[in-house]
Amino acid sequence: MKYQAEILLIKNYLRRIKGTIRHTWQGLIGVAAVGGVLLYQFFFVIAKAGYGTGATERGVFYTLLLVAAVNSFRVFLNQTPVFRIEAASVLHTYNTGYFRKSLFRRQLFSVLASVLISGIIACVMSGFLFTANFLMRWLVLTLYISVCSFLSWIFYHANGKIRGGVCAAYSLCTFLLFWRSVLSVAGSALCLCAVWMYAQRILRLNIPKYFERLQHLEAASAAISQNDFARMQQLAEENRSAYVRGPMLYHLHPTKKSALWIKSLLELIRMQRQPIVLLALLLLFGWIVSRTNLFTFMPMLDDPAITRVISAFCTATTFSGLYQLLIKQAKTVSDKRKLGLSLPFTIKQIIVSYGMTAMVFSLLLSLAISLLYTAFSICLIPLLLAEAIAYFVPCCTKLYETRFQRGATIFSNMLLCVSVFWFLML
Amino acid sequence: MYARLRRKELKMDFEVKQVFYSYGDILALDGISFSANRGQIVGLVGENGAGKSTIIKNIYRYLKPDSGTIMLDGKDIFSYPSDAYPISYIPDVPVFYEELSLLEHLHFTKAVYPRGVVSIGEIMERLDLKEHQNKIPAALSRGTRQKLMIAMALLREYELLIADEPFSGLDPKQIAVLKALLLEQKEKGKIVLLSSHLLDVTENICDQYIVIKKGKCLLSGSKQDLLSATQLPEGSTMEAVYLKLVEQDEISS
Repeated sequence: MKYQAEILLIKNYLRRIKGTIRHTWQGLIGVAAVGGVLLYQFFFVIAKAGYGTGATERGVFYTLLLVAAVNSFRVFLNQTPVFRIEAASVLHTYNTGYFRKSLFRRQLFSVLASVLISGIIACVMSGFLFTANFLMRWLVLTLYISVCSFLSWIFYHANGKIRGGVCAAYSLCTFLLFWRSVLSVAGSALCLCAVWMYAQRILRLNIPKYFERLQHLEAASAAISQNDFARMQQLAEENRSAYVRGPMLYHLHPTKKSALWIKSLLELIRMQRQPIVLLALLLLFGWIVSRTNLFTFMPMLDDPAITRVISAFCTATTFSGLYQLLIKQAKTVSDKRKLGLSLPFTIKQIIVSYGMTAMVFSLLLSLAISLLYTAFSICLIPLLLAEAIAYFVPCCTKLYETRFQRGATIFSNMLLCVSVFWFLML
Repeated sequence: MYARLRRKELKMDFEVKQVFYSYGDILALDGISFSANRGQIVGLVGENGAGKSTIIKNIYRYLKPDSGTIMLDGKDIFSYPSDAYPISYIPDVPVFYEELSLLEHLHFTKAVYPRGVVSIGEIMERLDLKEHQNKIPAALSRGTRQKLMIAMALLREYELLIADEPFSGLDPKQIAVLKALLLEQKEKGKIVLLSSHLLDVTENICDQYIVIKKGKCLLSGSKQDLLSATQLPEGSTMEAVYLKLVEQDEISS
């Protein structure tokens, strides 16, 4: 059969989707609901603006800036290759024409996706009027996103001087994106041809790196599709850097009294960046919603009473997330002790030591919030007190393994929400 | 004409000449050279991090040498077109399509490499895979997964077979079957490059050994040559030879 290999790969793909739906259908319903709400907001904004009302000059500039920012992340910071095929295909078909064809198909899909995404952005920018202006924006955006995909691919596989070349090419393309001229279309098209030719003909793929990453991604997606949290955690651990950065425990000369406290501090410094970045983004989102006009065009987000609740919720969730991370670390030490590791610390000492780190970070975060919301006052003291209760109550119930763990977590979250809301209201 | 024939006789079928490769600042292959002829099984021996996997990746074109050449039948391996690359590979870690059955994997390989002479039925028979044909990889034992990797590699058309730790996870009966399969390849005039830590298992089938240390070929030759070089008595095991070689090298360096 001529296309047997392709048919088998489609079968593999469909069966994987079936497995994902079977194991995570509840989560998918949630995602669909969130998607529905966002789509509703999107259509509401368009309907409010009216058919034929294009974005203002400022709006266009900010949109292009956002597109450039997202693509700079894709090119320079994204650790995942943009064109992905199955790891097994790399292993079993690498030295064949089939491998090149599979990769080419992925590149083609990526360009088609760029056409679609650019079409939507250009439509919104031109107020759904299909004029020459719309066509030019669509073309420039399509070319820009496609060039960035190939630049990301080259940046992923290359190193040294070639990466410098990618930086230069990215700067040129971004300049062409903002330069409103027919020449920018021609320039972007030339750029696309050049990077495509380079990626196809000259670029030497770093196959071991690519293969290893694909294996990791597939293992992660298999774990997610089967709701296997233990495997997900294991993969996250395996994906950590092999070398630790920053100060070592012995550099800080720990004594028996300070050892646990220093350990908790180092754990927090060395932990993966993603949860910290997510919490920081959440905090920032809360501030933007309540203190700027950026989202006031959206339904409900123009009402200060609602935005205050949202910002309090975001801030409280940041605290709660930080506490969860610290409590988890303390619990790991306590569990090791229970499993027989000869640690010369009682549970009380573990709670106090980790609690000290939590309180230091709590104080810093509270000071940052009071500066951000210009709410610096004596009321910070009751807030800190509430934070201490919100940390120690669930921490004690978890480490002593009492029956009230769930209740303590709910109480802690509610206390955080109420106290932060009260503090911000003042 | 006689002179030309003699020159041809001296020419080796597979040659690795002065290959250098570095991962950034770390030199992984330091001018490694070795050669092999058709109908030979060559054992790649060395400690962890010696450069065995790196040379395998270079031969399988996953990596390109910084300098040096790798020739097969007098032709640089990088000049072979993709559709006629004559090297097959059994990897040390099995990688599969999670949702395809064992039989579907074999059909996939056959579809990608239609010129392979071995049939699916034949290879399944030889490796005792029939009873597992409808199972997905997750439902297979480690040994059966390894056998599937071997089956997929043997289904292709090739002149050189690279086997990276092919015995791991196999029981004694399966090891015997694989040994017989490798010897069959040798009889067919193929070159087999066998990388394994199990020196006692490879002892009876390898025609020559390449001992690698720190990216260099420490010594190469038949077991007899290695015995003479290490001055060990006749009948010493390959393990003893290897340990002696490493010891000699450490003393001399």
